[in-house]
Amino acid sequence: MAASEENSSLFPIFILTIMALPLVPYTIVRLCRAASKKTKAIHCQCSSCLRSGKYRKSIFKRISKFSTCSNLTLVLLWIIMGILVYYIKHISCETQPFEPFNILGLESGASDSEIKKAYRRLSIQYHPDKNPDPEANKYFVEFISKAYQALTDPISRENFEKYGHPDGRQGLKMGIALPQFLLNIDGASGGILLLGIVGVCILLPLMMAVIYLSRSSKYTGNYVMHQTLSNYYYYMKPSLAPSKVMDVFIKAQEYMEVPVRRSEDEPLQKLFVLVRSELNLDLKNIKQEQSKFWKQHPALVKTELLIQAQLTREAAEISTALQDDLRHVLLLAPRLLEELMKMATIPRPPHGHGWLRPAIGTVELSQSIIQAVPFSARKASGGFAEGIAPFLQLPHFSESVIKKIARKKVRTFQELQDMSLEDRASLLTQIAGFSAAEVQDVEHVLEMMPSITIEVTCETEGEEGIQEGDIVTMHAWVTLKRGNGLIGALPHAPFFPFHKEENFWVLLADSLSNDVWMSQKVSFMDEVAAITAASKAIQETKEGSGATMKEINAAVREAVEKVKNGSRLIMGKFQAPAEGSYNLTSYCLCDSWIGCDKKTSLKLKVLKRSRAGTRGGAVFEEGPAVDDGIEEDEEEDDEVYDDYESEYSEDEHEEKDAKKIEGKNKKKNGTVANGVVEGKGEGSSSSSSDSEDE
Amino acid sequence: MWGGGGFKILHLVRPFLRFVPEIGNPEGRVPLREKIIYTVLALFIFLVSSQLPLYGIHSTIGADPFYWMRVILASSRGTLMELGITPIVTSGMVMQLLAGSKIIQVNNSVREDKALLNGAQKMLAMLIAVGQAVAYVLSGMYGSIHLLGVGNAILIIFQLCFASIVVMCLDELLQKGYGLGSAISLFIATNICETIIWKAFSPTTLITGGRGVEFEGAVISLFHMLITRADKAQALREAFQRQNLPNLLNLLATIGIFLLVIFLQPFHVALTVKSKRVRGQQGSYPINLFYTSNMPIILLSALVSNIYFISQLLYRSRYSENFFVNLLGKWKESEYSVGAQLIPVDGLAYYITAPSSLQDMAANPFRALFYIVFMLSACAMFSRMWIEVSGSSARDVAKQLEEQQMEIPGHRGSNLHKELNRYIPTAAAFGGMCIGALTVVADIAGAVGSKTRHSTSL
Repeated sequence: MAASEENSSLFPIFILTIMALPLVPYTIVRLCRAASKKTKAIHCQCSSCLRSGKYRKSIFKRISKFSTCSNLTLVLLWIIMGILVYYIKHISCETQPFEPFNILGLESGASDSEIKKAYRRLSIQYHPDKNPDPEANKYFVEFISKAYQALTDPISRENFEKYGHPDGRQGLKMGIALPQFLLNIDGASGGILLLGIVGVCILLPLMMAVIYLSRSSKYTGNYVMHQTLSNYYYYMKPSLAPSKVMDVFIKAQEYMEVPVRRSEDEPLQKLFVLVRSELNLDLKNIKQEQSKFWKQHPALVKTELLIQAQLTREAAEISTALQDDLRHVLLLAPRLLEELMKMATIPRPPHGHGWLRPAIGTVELSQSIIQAVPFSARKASGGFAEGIAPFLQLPHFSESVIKKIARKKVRTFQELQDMSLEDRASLLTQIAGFSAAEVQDVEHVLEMMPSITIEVTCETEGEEGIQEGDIVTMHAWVTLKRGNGLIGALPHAPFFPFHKEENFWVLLADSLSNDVWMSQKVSFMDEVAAITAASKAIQETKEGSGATMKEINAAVREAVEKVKNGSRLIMGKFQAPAEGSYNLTSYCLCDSWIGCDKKTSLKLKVLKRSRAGTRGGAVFEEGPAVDDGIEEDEEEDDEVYDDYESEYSEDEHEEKDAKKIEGKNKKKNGTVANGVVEGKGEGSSSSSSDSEDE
Repeated sequence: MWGGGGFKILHLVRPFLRFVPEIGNPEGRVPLREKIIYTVLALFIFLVSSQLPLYGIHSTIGADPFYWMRVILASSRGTLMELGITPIVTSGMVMQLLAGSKIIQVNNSVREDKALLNGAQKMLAMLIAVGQAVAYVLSGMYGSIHLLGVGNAILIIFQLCFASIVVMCLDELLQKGYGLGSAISLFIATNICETIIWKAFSPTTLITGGRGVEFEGAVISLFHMLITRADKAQALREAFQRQNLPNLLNLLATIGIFLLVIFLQPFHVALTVKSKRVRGQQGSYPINLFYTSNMPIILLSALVSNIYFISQLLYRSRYSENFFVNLLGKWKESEYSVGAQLIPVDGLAYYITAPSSLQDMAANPFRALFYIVFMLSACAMFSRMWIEVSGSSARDVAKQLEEQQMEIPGHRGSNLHKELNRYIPTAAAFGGMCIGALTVVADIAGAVGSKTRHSTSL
């Protein structure tokens, strides 16, 4: 059968095309990237970081870099493509389309006289009168005379142009370029095929989606359990000391589910002895305290001990089973700490402010875990006004080294940082007895350390001064600089076994009254997202104030330039409090480095209200709804309504489930300008939902 | 709430409300990940049901009277999605019209009114679905009733209704915040993407005597020709310009139109608005270039396909010699298409159909001119009309802003309305015209399947 013959070459063509479409661009991209390689290493170059194995590339790995799976597949696919092309070229014996000029042996577009001449020449060769061969006869009738006709006779010509053949419309046959067995549904394979299609294409995706949805209902958007959030919300207290934050932190539901095995009693006892000094136990009645400690939930005991082991850098001492658990605990830690921070700074009644002390405690806990520095090192002791913790994060530094340096009047980390290169080198080699390589490591880390500057302005947009009850807009530019010129980089964290990105928390807080007015997370990793977010935020503000096109463009350009130079824009709105002047502090806290937090003070003067207003209180939250199109107004209003609900329910019973709180939290962060907030995309895609759905 | 001192038509719906399926509100906020999953699931259900053939139908051969509306209604012939989103869209429009023209009184700030309106809309959609399904079966679209038998006929009606209810639920599911956007635009977009992908990569082959084997898909056909043809330049030319099947130029034109729409999408005029009560609360009220989105095109397509439908019906009946019938449209079977698809060749139907190419335009410049003028003016008009009906006219926006205690600095009270009136009708008309112009360009450039002019709806 002719059709099946055709199919045998058509299906490979189909496969070839489908393969070539992704393959060719992908290969080009790969080649381009290989040509312009040399990506900047953004992680710490000191020897202890390199040794930790997070970024290690052994010789074996270097060889296998070129023979990775993807590269091998690439080559394999190209080979398959080559074979396919070869196969198609050879198997295809299909009829060439009817092309009259070709048949007459002419260039297309030849003149009439040439056509006639060629026809005459071929007639002599093939005309039945001259050539008795029946093959030639057939060729003459079917091709030469048809071709001649198609080029000279007007009706045939029209037919040819329309249908591709001088005789007019030819029979039409539909086919599909798939292998025979797929089309032959009647055969025995039909049933299996049908089952396969139904199973793979319909049931499997549905099953997967159902399983995923049922599982994810326990988790929030940030891969943290709902139960954890409500625990954090419940246990968080306004005057939580930094050392007590740990007790709240380990209350996470994820940690409750850490398995406690019977065989672990003894190793845990041993670990307890190792870290006992860090556990805040009252020395006077140590027996009682100890038994109280062990009476807690076993998972809590285990988690606390494991984290203490991490802080005191005893992780190498514990058994392998415990080490695996520790890795698990540490893997979850950054996420949980972020949620803990959000719970600390979540607006609480009556004024809608968060709590500063637990927030700072959380950041300190985060720093300690990442750098593996015990709490005791943070306390001021022995002439170190701010503790020895910042020194401990440097490679090769131990307590004895720090003591030695202290004799040379280097007592704060700042002093060490401010020294000139030579002074520091000589100090380290002569006093601390470091080798040149070790000094180099220290330099690497010091170069990697970020230094932060923060500029904050608060104003009432479009008005003079700030009055009671105004919606105040805070603009903050956080600028990061490093000794080695990088902007987005991974911190030096040799004791933290996972990939960790630096994050900064910007808080606007009143340190006297322990109030956090505003909190936002900033990351310096994703420059592109930051640029889009910043330019969008600036554009919206400028449009709101009625600036001209030119002004807007200039402001946006300036903002983009700033972002490229290592600044991030943070914008937020809050409601001005009662009349008075406030001494606010803006904090920029780093979650992975010790000793590079920045504080700047900001005076906020709130005047008495000049224009009478009837509405007060929380109604102002409604505000941003106007920014969106009308289509979204309804949605927004509903959300606002939900927010009220949660706020009022908090008033009555505070331990209300954290779900709503989380929703509220997100909404509050909706104005973030550094592109880290998820759920931002919703607006853009739903704006295309057209007015017909209203 | 029976208050307001009167009887409201809307309240008639109340007893039936509990028979209408409803999707519950999500608890808390649905994370983006889950939204994506829900959206994909909805899409998946839609795709499967637009491939599943109806059980019990006899034939779907013959001219398809709804050929021109298939794309915007996301329906596919002979499958569960035969009705597509027609019931929801129609009932939505009817309700919008009724509410806009104050025939039924709806107070959007009252929860119950909203719920009632919603329920009424859904009930209407179900009624329309039943009506349409019955009409389809009775009109012999799936073979005459004698052939089908009563049992099968009822079964078909049941299938169609059930599919419509599923679509309705999917739409509600997405709108209630489980998913992204609305099912209506999602399904239309999917249908368009499906068409484009099919035209580009279809493995279907046509075997003709003159041209030999040809692939339907434009991209596949390019490869096929390049590999098998001896004359590569000729092969390339053919791949770009062949007339009978989708070619690469069409595909490129489609991509171009898409890019143009994406480029034009963010154009807007921003009006500064300020709160009357709270200082420092200010923002901008954007009036987009595509203020009415793709609505004018949907309305226009509905109009045009109705004209086609009536004209075809009359032309094929015994009145085909009548002068007025011919004035409305003369029809001929298409030369290229496989089924017996009719195309207009004269009369009004011909003049409101897009010329298929530039040559076609040059051949009949009057028709081209008429078509362009018709498209632009009709789109502008529909757009202007739609803002009045859908409650996004200057007056309604002014009212909304008033309710939110917002004002435009320097314009108070009735001035707000006047100020908005300077922009909104102009934006609507101009935006409608832009969409019309885009459609004309897409049609003439032959953007894939010139009927998929609705790339704008994305």
